[in-house]
Amino acid sequence: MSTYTEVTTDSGRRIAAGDYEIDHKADVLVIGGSLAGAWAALAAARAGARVVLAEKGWMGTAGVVAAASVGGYYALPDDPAQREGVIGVRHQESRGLDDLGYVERVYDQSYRSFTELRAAGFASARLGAFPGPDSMAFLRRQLLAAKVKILDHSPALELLQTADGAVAGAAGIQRKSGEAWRVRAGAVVLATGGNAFLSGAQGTNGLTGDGYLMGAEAGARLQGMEFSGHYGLTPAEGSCTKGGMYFSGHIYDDAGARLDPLPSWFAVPNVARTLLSGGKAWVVLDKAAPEQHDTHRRQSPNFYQYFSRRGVDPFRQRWPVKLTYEGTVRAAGGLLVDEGCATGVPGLYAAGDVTDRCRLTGAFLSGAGPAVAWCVASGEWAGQGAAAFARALGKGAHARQVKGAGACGLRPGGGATGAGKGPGGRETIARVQEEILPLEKNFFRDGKQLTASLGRLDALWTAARAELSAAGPRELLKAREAAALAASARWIYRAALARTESRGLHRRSDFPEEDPAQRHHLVLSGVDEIRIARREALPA
Amino acid sequence: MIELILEPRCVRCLACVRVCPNDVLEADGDGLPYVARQQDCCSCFLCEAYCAPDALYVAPEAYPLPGLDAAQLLADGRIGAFRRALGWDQRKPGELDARAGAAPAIQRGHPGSPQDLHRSESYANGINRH
Repeated sequence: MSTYTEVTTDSGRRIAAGDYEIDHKADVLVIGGSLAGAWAALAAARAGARVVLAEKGWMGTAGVVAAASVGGYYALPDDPAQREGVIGVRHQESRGLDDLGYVERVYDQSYRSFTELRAAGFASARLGAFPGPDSMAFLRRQLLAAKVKILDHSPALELLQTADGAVAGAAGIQRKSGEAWRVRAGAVVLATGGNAFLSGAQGTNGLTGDGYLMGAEAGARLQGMEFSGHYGLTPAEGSCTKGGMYFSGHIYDDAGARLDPLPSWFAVPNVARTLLSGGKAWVVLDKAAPEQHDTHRRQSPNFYQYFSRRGVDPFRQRWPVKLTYEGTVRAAGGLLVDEGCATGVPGLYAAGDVTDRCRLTGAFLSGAGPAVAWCVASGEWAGQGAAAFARALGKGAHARQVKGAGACGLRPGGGATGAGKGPGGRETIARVQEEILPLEKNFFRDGKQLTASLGRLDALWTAARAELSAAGPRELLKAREAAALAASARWIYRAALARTESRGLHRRSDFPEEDPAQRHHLVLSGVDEIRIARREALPA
Repeated sequence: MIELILEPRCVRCLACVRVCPNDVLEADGDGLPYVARQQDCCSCFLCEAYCAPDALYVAPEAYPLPGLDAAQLLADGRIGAFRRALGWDQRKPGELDARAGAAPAIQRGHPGSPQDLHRSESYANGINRH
């Protein structure tokens, strides 16, 4: 076997200088090719737009959906009881920050979208069911049939902006060839997912908050970032954080005491407490009837591979679990969008987990049913909105003068200097992870810890801002991912420090109670200097 | 993490290099895939799913696990198990048969059915309880 030679193209210099080897034009550019991005691209194409979709990995395997089997919620048009049930399913846990009128609109749209998907030949067992690998393979085919141009292994590194602030495309690299690319577009949809901070949770290694950083650099705001204290139950030696199967089991501590008076997700704080005090937590899926075991295995094959490959019977033997940080992936925080999924920056739209999901599930988890519904609904609206924006621009769209909006990791100290000094991308990532991944720091937060972490993160940011960059494509991508991780951690902890109460996925050990006076949203803006504004919640 | 590429079974189609979402694999000068960045693998098994000749093995452990016995893994059916579990040994990716469904907890009824109402009056923020 010959050894691999790193591509030595000076992608860093090319991107920073605007010197591209690949140049495309589109009406709509979609960044991110999991469920939300695929849906946005299809919606834009149906609206008559020429669409390019750029995906960091491979469109079909990238993102959390491809590595899972999920089911999306929807509201049946003619079944009032079902509608009431599904619309209100997470209202209690949203802690006063959801918007039931909007939830209804999302689940009406997801019903229409799931029905269209079925009509297009997607034969899942049940409406709204997305067996991951098949769903994304099916959608890849749909995209190709709709003449969407797919750029695989092509992470976007920055948005391109006109002098008056409109987003008019993006630039990035083909990470295998090292070529620099640019897509000039009438409008852009960010669908890059959340940020799991490279915790290793299955399917999340591509989700590094790239869209938050690119969006915020262009002027977009974020919301709900403090509702990000979720850690997924994970078989102790593995990486799968899927949660549905725990509803079929019990969770115990070392002494055999039940940690799950409430099922699955709700048991996570008890598991965290047990692990933090040095104990272990054990699971056995003994609520599943033996005749259901095969069905379970078939429905979540990736989860059960862990057990079959290790020779463990998860239904009869107990097995230890750990907690893996999921950041904003199944939580709330992200880019603030309006009802049509526009960010407020002209030409910039967002869909899926990259957006704030407080409207849907408030301060609580958006994962599974609501998130899948949101991917298709927000994808539909963002795709349509972007197509309409591009159409209104007309033929002049690609004649606009544009400039790269990317800074940290790309243009150190404001200029292109090639390879940087100071901590590199990998070291920056490791230092961010030291602040954000440990249960000790981020599950039950407190003011002192948050202040100390923020001090270190701010210093890290200042150093990265001044010096972080890279030449080769993979190192350049790492540098930008490091910048996105550092920026996300700073937004999360800044909002967490400002919210002096506990609510949903934000838990303060120094403020353990929910404070009725803080039933509002925290809106963040700025990348170097972070500003916080309050936005009132809907009347109770 | 991905552990094995079985050279005798590999047909050098490089599907694994193409589909890995985390850019873990590369092709060498002879057109044979190899593991270039194992630390970026999160055991999603999708390279196995797209490997028609079953020439890959991904261990479910989130850390390297050297010294696996390929002959044993082949003999006991662990190699190729994920592809078979998806039904992709029988059909093309994305051409679903209706048996494939959602996760069991969601599968039981319509969304909003009693099984899906995991609400609890006592759940506030995870701190107050106990």
